[in-house]
Amino acid sequence: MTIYSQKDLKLMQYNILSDILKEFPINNLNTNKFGLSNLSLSGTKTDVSGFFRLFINDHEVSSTYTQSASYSWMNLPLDFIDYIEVYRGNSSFALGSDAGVFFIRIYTKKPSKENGTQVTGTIASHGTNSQSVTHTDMFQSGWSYLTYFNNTKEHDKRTYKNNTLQNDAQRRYFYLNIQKDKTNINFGYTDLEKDNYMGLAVDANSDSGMIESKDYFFDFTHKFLDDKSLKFNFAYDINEIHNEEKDSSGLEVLPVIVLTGPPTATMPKEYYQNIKLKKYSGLVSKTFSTQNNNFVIGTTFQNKKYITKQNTVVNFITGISSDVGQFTAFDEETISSLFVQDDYKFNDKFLLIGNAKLDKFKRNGGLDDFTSEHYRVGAIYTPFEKFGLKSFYTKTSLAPTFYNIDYADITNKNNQNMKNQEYKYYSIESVYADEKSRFSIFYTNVKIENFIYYAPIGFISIDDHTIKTQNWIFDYTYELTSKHKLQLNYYTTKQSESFTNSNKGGYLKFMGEFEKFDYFTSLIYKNGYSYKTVSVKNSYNLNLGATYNFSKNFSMSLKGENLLNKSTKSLYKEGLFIGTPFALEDYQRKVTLAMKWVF
Amino acid sequence: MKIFILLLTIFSCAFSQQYVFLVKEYDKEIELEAKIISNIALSSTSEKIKLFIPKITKQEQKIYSQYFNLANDCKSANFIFNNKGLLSDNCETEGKLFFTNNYKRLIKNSKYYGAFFWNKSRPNIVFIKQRLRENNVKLSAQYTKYIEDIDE
Repeated sequence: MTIYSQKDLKLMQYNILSDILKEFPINNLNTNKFGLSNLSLSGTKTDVSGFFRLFINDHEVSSTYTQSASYSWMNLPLDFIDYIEVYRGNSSFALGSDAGVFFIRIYTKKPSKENGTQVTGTIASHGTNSQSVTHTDMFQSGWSYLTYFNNTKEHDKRTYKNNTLQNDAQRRYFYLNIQKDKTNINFGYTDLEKDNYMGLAVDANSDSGMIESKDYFFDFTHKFLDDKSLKFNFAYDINEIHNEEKDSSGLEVLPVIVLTGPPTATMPKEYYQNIKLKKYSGLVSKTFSTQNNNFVIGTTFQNKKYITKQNTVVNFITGISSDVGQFTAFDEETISSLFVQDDYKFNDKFLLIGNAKLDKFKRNGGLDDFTSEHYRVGAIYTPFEKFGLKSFYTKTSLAPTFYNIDYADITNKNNQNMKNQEYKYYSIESVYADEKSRFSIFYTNVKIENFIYYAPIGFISIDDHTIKTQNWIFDYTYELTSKHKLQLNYYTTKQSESFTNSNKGGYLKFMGEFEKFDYFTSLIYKNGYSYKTVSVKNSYNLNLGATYNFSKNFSMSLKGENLLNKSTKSLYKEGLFIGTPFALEDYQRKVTLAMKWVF
Repeated sequence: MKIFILLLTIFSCAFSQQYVFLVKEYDKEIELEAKIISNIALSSTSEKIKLFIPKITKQEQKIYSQYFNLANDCKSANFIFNNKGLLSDNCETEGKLFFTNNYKRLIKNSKYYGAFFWNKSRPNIVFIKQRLRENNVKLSAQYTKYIEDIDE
């Protein structure tokens, strides 16, 4: 587990979540064909990543459609965030979340510790700007609340074959957290309106198009009994997505393309989509604690509904407009789960942890119902005060999403019963830490059965061989003084498949403060790679920043990102189905000026 | 409103000490709070302190017991720290000192003579001059700058 404290966020000037994800070991933060930030596992490239889960105050904000945190949440502003926890491998099942391999848990500032108002404004290169207001208060009764508003306008573009790919976006966020002792209520909202970048255009440059999304959630948690050991949670999520796109070379909307004739006969040149997803979820759990043992048992329930409001295509040849309705009959999924968790402390040096979860899936649209099992066992052993070992084995499975089924293999439309992706994830971490330094070596060995791969003809389940990856992460932190910290990180990935993304990387970070100044520098390295005819060079992302604190309540910050202009590059393709691959930069050089006022 | 900021070395800009694994629940804030309440209580009365925290959690119990003798109810305590807003109205004020973690509660309820609370992520202490007098509390010199005079 890695923790980004409020102090790290402040000194390193991590303004939005993707600032952190850029340096994330054994991952690559890419820009997908819709111009959205997307996380891919080291060595691989995905347009939609369903393997990691994003939480705000223990509420999962991944899209119900794709299980990915794309759209707005990946760019979540961090000025109302207290700290961030990152888990590799599965984390505790006690939150009743969907299965995953990476977990990012974000926690907002505690309203009872703030009792004030914060105004933040940023202005950056290319006209990008952002304004935020955070207000917190605590009442005499003990109830406290935090409200947060943000408006961000981003200006971004790339050039491909002398054409400009526009990637301008406007994002808005609203967050409300109300809490008192045993009760925690969260309401989150974000919307996005943006250019569609390459979109689905066969020539990777749509003539026109836009993407709109709105995400809302309400989450209520109450803990009963004096020891708060009985927990009740209810949550309701809505995702709304609206896409529209036109391109004279045609749009690769795979679900409507029929291969019994020439693809152009069924390929659209215009596409209008309007969908809504609703999710209800509930959890009840009870914890039984003794001096050396904690046992949690609980049950969760989730109901997901996928509503297609509009799915209109205009045919490439005939120009006839038709509403194709739902891509498949699969539009509802209900998951009932039972989980247990136990951690037993043999003594101060040895802790054993075990988790098990049973999910029962009921799906409509002629898809099979099934049961999936998840296990996680591990031990934490600290034989010496300064040295410890931690090891976990996780067996988990990721069920196909609505998106996987919609975009399933178009050559086999009669069988949409895609298998679950089965992950076996083993990790071991050794750590040496003293007062000033911490050195850790982290090793993971991952085996994936039935990997769902986005082939040129849609999602296919690779069930004839096992995908294997091994990762090593080396991390060293040294406190030069009580106010200056240096951090070095290096990772490398080996995998059974050919690389379609960077597989080695690392960073060097320095942060500190002197009198009224805070400052940092970081160099993030990702290695180059070759794929077919495309060769991508090493990326060196140099960042520098400083803050001047005029008073305890007012500060100005200046930050330069990607100063060497050597961004990572992502793979894309031009042409129908297999197409010709090419690579484009994920981000531009950027300078940001920020102001923070607290009152 | 005049609030003096308590500058605490523990919350100064120093990085926290490196850790091997974060296994234990993070309890640094409660430890800090317990130390401060202990100093204030010792400075407020010469009697032996019996502390009562309404609806005390196990974690608080573990940490506060290092600094105080803990009372199981309001009746047997002489120092009450209401840090959750859950103090029963039946708790008699006679012979007891009441402290809180909520500035608004301090201002509106005259039984509290002081508060330790957070503002803009910074810890603060405030004592009310008149209520110190009413409770016969004579604070040591280090706390003089945290005393406010309000109209009641």
